[in-house]
Amino acid sequence: MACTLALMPAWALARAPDPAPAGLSPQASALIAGLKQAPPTQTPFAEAKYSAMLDRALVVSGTLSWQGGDHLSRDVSAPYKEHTVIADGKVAMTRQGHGTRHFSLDRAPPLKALLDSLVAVLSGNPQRLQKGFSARLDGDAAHSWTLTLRPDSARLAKGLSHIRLDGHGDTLDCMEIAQSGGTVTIDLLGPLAAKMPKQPNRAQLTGLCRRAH
Amino acid sequence: MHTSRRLILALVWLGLLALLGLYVARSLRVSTDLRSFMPPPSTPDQQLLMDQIGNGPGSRLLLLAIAGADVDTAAGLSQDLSDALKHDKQFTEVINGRFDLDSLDPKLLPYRYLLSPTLDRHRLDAAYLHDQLQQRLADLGSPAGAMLETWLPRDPTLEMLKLAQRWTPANAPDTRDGVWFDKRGEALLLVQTRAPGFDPGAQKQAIDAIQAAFKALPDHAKAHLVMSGPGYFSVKINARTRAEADWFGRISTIGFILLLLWAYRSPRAVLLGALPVASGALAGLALLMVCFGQVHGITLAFGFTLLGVAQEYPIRLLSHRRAGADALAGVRALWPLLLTAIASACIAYLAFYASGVPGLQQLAVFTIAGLLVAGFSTRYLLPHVLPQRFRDVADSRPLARWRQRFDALPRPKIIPVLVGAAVIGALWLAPGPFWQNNLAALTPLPHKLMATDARLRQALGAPDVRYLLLLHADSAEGVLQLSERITPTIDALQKRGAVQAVELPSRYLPSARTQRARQARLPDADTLKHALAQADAGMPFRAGLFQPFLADVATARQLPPLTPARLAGSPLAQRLTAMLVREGRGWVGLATVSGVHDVAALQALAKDTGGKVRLLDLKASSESLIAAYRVRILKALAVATLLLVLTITIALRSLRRAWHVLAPMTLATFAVLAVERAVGIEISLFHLVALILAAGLGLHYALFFERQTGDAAEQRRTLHATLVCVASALLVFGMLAFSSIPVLRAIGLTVSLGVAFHFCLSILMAPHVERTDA
Repeated sequence: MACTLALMPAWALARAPDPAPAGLSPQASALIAGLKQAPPTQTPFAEAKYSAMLDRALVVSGTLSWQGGDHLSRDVSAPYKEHTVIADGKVAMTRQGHGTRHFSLDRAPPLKALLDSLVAVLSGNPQRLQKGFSARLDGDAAHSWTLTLRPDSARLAKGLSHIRLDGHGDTLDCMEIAQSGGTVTIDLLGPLAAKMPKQPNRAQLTGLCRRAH
Repeated sequence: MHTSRRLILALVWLGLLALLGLYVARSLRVSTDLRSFMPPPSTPDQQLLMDQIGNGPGSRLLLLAIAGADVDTAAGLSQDLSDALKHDKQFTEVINGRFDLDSLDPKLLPYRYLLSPTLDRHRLDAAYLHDQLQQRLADLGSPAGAMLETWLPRDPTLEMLKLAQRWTPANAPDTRDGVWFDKRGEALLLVQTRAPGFDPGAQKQAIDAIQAAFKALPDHAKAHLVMSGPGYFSVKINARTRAEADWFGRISTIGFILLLLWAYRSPRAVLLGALPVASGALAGLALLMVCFGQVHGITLAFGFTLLGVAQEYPIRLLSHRRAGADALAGVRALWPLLLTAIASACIAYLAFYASGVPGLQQLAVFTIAGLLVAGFSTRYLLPHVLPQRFRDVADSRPLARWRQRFDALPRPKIIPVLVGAAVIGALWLAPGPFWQNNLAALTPLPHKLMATDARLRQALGAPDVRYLLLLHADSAEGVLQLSERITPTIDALQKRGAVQAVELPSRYLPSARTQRARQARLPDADTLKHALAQADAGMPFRAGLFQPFLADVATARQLPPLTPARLAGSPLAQRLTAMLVREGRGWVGLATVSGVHDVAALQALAKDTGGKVRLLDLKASSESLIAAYRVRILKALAVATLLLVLTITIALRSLRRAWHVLAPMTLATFAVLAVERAVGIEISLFHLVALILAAGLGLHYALFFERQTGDAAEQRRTLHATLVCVASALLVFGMLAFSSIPVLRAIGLTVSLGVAFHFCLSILMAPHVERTDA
């Protein structure tokens, strides 16, 4: 009997419903839990894209909204108008004067990964964040922090190199998505969006994200 | 004859049978293609119908669903299963919804400018290119950017994407994790077999291969595979029919042997009595192998059933043996009658030969050869091997009582009139159509299979098996041009809801004329370079990025138009070969049709195009084909009937005696028809075959009852033989009448009813025994 009792705690721990994610420290999990927002919520964004095909960055800006669950929308207001809705695994993209294009989220694995990590952050869910990713947190919750996510599966890694989230306290400031081909997309979120330069270079943007607070 | 000589003869006979059996076993090749039981096509349209029934794209399609697993597992299984099947030569096409531009043949890529409709509306000039590049820039900045990046330098106007969309099945299901799913969360796949849909043997191999491939997947235990489609059905029905027929066969064989043992009280006699039929069956099979090289499974099943008539010969011989006389004397007395019976049966089965249907011709060859061998071996071999000691059945007291009762029955001359009137009345008043033209009604699918098929077909947007749109022209090019010409009309019909989708061949391959027109609109290298520079001005695209695009357009300008022949080997060619078919001197395009709501609107196309475009209703055509073929069989039967009357009259040398034989047989046959029609059964070809079999048996009863020997003991022997025959036929076919499978039930019911009617009427209409011994 004593033996059984002695084993109990270990057994209970192993079956605990919410074990601390293996890759994230309890502080990191707490930090992510703290980022939780109540849907619907929205934030302005400005995005710069660097691609080997382009001589200079491609910049667009608008509003990102989260309606809860896996339902996100992205409204571009400049330099053209474009409305993208991601819901139920499907993407509908409407560009002014060019109709709507529909495609399955599965056809764009990097986008799916981004959606997964963004929704995980918005709903303050560290478990989901780690599903399919190795996560690492640098910095601390009180000051600025950087969360880096790298895909576990070779299949996803073919398209996606990493996702990096920068923030301070309980605010998410920047998102960086690096594709395996070398294309990098950097989003400035919230008040930071207004600070997007006309011709941003990457060092400038990294600086903005790291010194946001 | 000495016992030892009998034994030697019996052994020699058995030895010969063993040799024949060995030959048959070595050379027997059973085919399962149901089309050998279809009438031979006589017009190009019927030829097309026959090809389509077995080989059409619709009939070779298997619908698969992976059910019972979560989405991730099901998607993985779908992908793995599709990869496995793509390497199997038995399948010409495996699609699970994966969007895979990379699987296209890179050599054909420059053809995109000739295949895509873009150049019909635009030119690759500075204005169009500028607009396109602006779009691509926005695309790059959009969530879809990553998807397009790899293709951008080569294909800035996204022609590949347009083609991929054009080639996606019209009503494709939703994709999740990159593969098709239905609303119940089952992953869906479409598989096209190389084997014809109505060849259950080949389809079984294909289905087994799919199941084996599925079982070989590591995760298979988490889900199960649901299948549907014409090929799957034919396999299912085949297996079920065979299982039930085997079961009934085993039971009735045991019953039959017990009955014979009881009737003759001699295992040796029963055993030896089986030799003539065994000889007939083996000889028939051997002849089939020599004449046809193979035998159809249905021929075998029906053939053995029909050959059952031959069991009467040894039964007659056994029953008619007389105490004190040897078997040889007995058979000599019976022979004229037996010979008449054999000849009549052969004449009836000749009608099958005249039908021209390969399967029925095989059946005729087998049965006629079998009957002759069984008959002659009963006459010339069996008496020499039968044991000398036996029990004369005429000594049986119960039998004598039965005979007296039968003789005492009133035989009013009015019976034929009454029965005839009843028959006419019943046929007149019978409900429903007389003929069953729908062969499928005889092999109905269990409701559950039908429901699964409807559900999967709906979810996959798979085409109806029933309708096909035919496009006639002199050449493949002509078909493609015609297909392009009617595209606007079809689009309008789709928009109006008359039809859900039509897959026209030009959707996959435009005519050479259209391709040349598009080619002529492609700019030369310098013009394009200049236009691109203008379009690109001020945009952030890296210099020289679009070099692959310039190269592809330059190549496209020099290409000969893409033809079905040049496509050979590509996945697209698979689809096109099913859609472009040589027909006689011309070509015909086959467009599959889904969700037909307004048949008249589609039929009107024929009028508008002067008959070049027609809606082929496979169901109606096959029904009319079957009706035409029945007429042919009925005609052959009418000729056979005349020959039969002639044979009987000559054999009996008396019209009056022939009447006593033929009248009960004819009346009984019509009485069976009347009863079946009165209870609402529609008459199919299987009923006809069964009626002829019953008539053959009935002819025996009538012939023997009519025989006037003036000897009461012989009359009792006749009764004994007939009772044994009736009892055995009722045993075998009565069981079949309770089958759950309509084909078996049709045969069982018809023959049982027939045997009963033939027996009663031949007794009631036989002439009164003129002299009776006290």
